[in-house]
Order: sequence, then structure tokens, then C-alpha cells
Amino acid sequence: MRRLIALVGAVLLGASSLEAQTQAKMFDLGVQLGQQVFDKGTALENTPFVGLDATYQLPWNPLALAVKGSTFGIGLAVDVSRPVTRGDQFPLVAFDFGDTTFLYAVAQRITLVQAGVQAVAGIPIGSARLFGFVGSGIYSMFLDPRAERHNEKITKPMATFGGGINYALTSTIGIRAQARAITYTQFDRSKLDATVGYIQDRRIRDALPPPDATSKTPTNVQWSLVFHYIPGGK
Amino acid sequence: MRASQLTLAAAVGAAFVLAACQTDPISGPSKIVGEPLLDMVFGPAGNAVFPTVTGARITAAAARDTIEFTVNALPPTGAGNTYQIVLVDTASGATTAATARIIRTVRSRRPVNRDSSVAVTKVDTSNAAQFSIADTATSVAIRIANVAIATRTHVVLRSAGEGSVPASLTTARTGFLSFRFKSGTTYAVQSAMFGSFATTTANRLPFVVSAYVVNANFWGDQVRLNFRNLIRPPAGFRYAAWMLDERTGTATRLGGILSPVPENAPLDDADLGTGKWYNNVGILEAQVRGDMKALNIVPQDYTFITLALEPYGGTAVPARPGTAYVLSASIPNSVASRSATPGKVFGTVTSASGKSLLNTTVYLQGINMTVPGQVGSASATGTWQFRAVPTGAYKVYAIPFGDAVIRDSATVTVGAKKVNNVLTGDSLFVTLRIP
Repeated sequence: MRRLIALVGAVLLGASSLEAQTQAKMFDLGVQLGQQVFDKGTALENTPFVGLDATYQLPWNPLALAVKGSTFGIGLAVDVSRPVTRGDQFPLVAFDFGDTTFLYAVAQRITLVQAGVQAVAGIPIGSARLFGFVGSGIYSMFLDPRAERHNEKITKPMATFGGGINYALTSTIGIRAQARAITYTQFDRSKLDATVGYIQDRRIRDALPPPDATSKTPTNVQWSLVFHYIPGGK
Repeated sequence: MRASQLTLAAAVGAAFVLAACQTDPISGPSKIVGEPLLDMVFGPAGNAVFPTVTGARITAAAARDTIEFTVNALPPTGAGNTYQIVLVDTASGATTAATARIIRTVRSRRPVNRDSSVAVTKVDTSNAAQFSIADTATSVAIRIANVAIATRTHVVLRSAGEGSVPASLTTARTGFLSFRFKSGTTYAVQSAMFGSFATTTANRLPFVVSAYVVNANFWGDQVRLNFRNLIRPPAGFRYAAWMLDERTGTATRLGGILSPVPENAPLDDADLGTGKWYNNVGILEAQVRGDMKALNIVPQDYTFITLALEPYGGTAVPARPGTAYVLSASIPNSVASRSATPGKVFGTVTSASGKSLLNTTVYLQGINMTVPGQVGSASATGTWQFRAVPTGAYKVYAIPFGDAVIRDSATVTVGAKKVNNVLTGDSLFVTLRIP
């Protein structure tokens, strides 16, 4: 354990000399691992996700005059997750077996792809680098064809912003902890409802509490660790 | 390849391996919610008897001052409530609260032994303009001797829950049982109508069984009944659901009808109310929500469930439902296995004399019940079991094959406990000894 602590300490101390690993005209490629926390009104369970991002550090930096060592870039980010819908947000369905009826909350596992462009700005703070970003893109939900009985994809615009802190582990490898808010637009929760009217239960209409209030513009939050690589980093 | 590139590739690979490990059962992520429902066939009650008037007559003498009739099958009144006897003139709306000689006769049958019983008749007489009913099997002979008969056209029975007798009636509905005895200048008793009376014929609403039962279910500890287009009850009456045991006469009131989920508001004013759930003749949608846990009852102790008419008013709901059953259903035998916390009572019978134990009958009877709820037979080795026993106190007793008397009994109490966070009934072992 002491060796591990010493190793981590050495790495973090070493980062102070590597703060300048990201420089203009360089690419920064990252692999994201994290969790997406959905707004309750989306009827989606929180889910782990994986993602990729790529940022090109522009030679023109509007922050350069104000903050020494700052960076400014534009990039792409895409992530994929497989959240499950919350069956308790939709009507129950009833399955009759003789004199017995079972009530089911119908959920489905969808595939969620979120992709967009973003502008990223960073400033060095001691041995770390704080960064923030803002961007926009699209989110696509691929519904489960087993539940829906057909292939259906929902693609709508989204906006995003966030930030985090970056540590350089070597001249080319670093790790980031970041948080991101993603606001969906034109969101329609009812599209995630896999039930069909003729089997919806009308017997125990209060078997579940009322569904959470929904919105056309829910905001979700992503927490992630990003392992990033800078080809040609110095 | 440089170590950094390998690290990046490994991170990407690990991420996608983790993602690929996310699997669901073949049925998908859907889940069962709550207890399974046990369906009942809820329909018009075959054993219903609604209030009737028999033997109605008016004196033929020139005075025309006496009306006699007998009312049968009146539902019991709650404490403090009474039935009012009113003479009404439909032309003017004028009313008279008619003091009458009232003879209440209660006929009941008292068991003497297992095979025979004796009929008991109890009669009491009073002079009043109203009367109460305590027992279902009551017939009421009413003799009205009043000079107002000459100026009135109808006899109307009202529930005091409607309020005191007004001096005159408007065209609004009132009363639940009525008959005409005078048309113009002709005195002739006509058939009685059970249903809301009004001075204008068009406003009257005879009661007929009319409803669409959406569904009727036991759901865990609850009874849920859903209806549409129930006809309005007669004025002064309301609907209430009861569970009854025809073997013992036990009756438990589940509650009145409510507006649909999520409002769940009482519809006790369905007879004359003007709420959004009513039209002129019917109740658009209603439900009954019976909580057996709160009532401390188990469905196995009852044989049928009914939606009945009862008079409202007074200080308490009626103690018994009467026989004005509008809808009913037999309680399914399988309801025992749907108890929220079924336990198990099992054991063995032993014989001191080495007598055969095969087919020794073992009975399980609720402590407060007069007949056994479950009956089983012992095997050749004396083992027996009752697999689905709701929580509660029971007497277990054994009668050997060919015998007629209880040879041994034991009292057991089936409780409930949590096993793996699931509420489960106790499993109890009992030994019964026969000679």
C-alpha cells in the first residue's frame, strides 16, 4: 500500500513539470469512462457510459493575453451508453393467466449515442490544468426492437457544457476528471413507452405513484474519468 | 508501439469490454409490480331481495281513512337512522308525516343441534311516523289511520338520512319506496315502486340492477372493484360493499363507493348529488377499495362479496347489509393461496392404541369461526398439512375415520416474519393424539 501511495505521489508531483504537455496545434485524444445521471423526467435509469473525444488546440487563443499558459481548442466528443427505461414511469400492462393477472412495469434497454462539437479552454493551476467547455450536438436513442416490435431511432439536438481538472501523467498521457451537463431538446418521454394500449392495466390504476414531471428540455449530468493521449506531446 | 499508445488502446478496449458485459435476462428489464391479482366474476346477484310492499289495501268504507301494507326486505338502518312514513299529494306536493301503527316481525332460525333448528318469531308494536330496522329478516306491517289520506295520493317511505319530512315536495326526487292509492277521486292501491319517488312521474327513477363491472379483484390485502354506469341508488340510499360468510352469517363492510383513482372521493351522495361523476340516472365511474388488513379480516372466512344498497343517515353505518344485493361474486377458493403472508400448519396424528391413522380427518378452524375453514386427511403414517394458512389464530382438531367426535385439538397462531426481506407466514408443527 505504501508503495502504491508513493507511486501515485510521484506521478502527481511529476505532473507539475508536465503541465505544458498540451500546446497549440496539437491533438488531444481521450477515452471517457463514467456515469450519466439522468434527469428524473427522462424515465431513464442512470447508466455507465464510454466515450471518445478529440480536441485540436488552436494556434489562436483568446485567453493567451489574460492567462499565461492557457489553451483553447475545438473538438469532437461522442459517447455511447445503454440505459434502461424506468418502467414505473409508464402505464403498467396486465397479463392474464386463468384467474390470475400479473402487472408488469415494462422497461427496455436502449442504446444512447451522444455526439457533438465543443470549444475547450484551459488554464494552468499549479500542477494541474483546469478546463471548461461548451458545445452542441445530437443525441440518438435506438429503441429496443424486441420491445417496440420495430426499429426506431430518435435523434434530436442537444447542448452541453462542463469542465474539470487535468493531470499529466507523462508527456503524452494524462488523466482528466470532468463533469458535463447535457441538455436535450425536443425530448418526448412517451417515445420510450414500450407498452401498447390494449394490454395496459386499468384495474389497479394506483399501483404505482404518479410519474415524475417531465420536460422537453431535461438536463442530465455526466461524471467521467478521461484517459487522454497527446500525440507528440512534450 | 510506444507505451502511451498501448495504454490508450488498452483503455479503449477495457471500456468496450465493460460495455459489452451489460446483459439483460431474456425477458428484458421489465418487472412484476405488486401482488398478482385474483380475478372475480362480479355480476348481478342471484340471491338479491329488494324491498317490496305486499298486502297493500285501503279501507273500502266511505271514510277512506286507513291504509294497511307490509314492507319486506328493508335493509337495516344504522344507529340513529329511521324510515319515515309520508303521505304525499302529487298535485300540490303537500306532505303529511303519517303516524302509524307499526308491527315489526323478525323471523330467524336458531340451530338446536347439527341437524335441526327452530324458527323464532319476535314481534314488537309501536305507534310512530318512523321506525328502524335492526335485522335483515324483518317484515313491517304498517297501518296508517289518518284523515289526511283523503287529500293525498301516495304513500312514500323515506330514509331519515334525507332530512326531516318537508312540508311540501318540489319536483326533486325523494323517498325510496312508494305506491299510489288514489287517482283523481278513485281509491285503488297500485303496485309499489322501489326507487326514487318524485311528484312528477318523469322525474321518478325506478331502481333496476344496471352496471358495467370493469373488473373485480383481490390484490394482496386489498379488494378492488371498478364499475361504470351504475344506476343511481334510490333517494336516501347509497352503495356499499360487504363481504359475507353464508355459513356463519358474518358480515364485514368494506366501504362505500368512491370516485375513480386518483380522486378517491366518497360518492355517498350518489342518490341525489350533482357532482361531476353523475348524470341524471347513473354514476359514470366508481370504485370500491377494501383494505382487509385494516379491517383485520382474511377473505377465506367469507363466501361472497357484494355491492349492496343501504340507507344512509344516523350516527353509524348499518351493522348488516340487508339483502338488497346489486352485484356480487363468490370468493374464489384459490383466494387462500393469495394471502399476502400464507403460513403453513402441518403435523402428525399419533394413536396410543395403534389404531390406523389413515383418513383421520384434520380440521383447521379460525378461533372465531363456527365451521372449519380447511379440512384435510392424515396419511397412513399420520402426517397431514395445510399449505396456505393466512396469519391468525386457529384451532386444529382431529376426528378418526369412522368416528364422530373430536379426539384431540390444539390452538395455533400463525404469525409472519421476514425471510430474505420477504414477509412470510410461520410454519407450525402440531401433534394430535387419538385413542
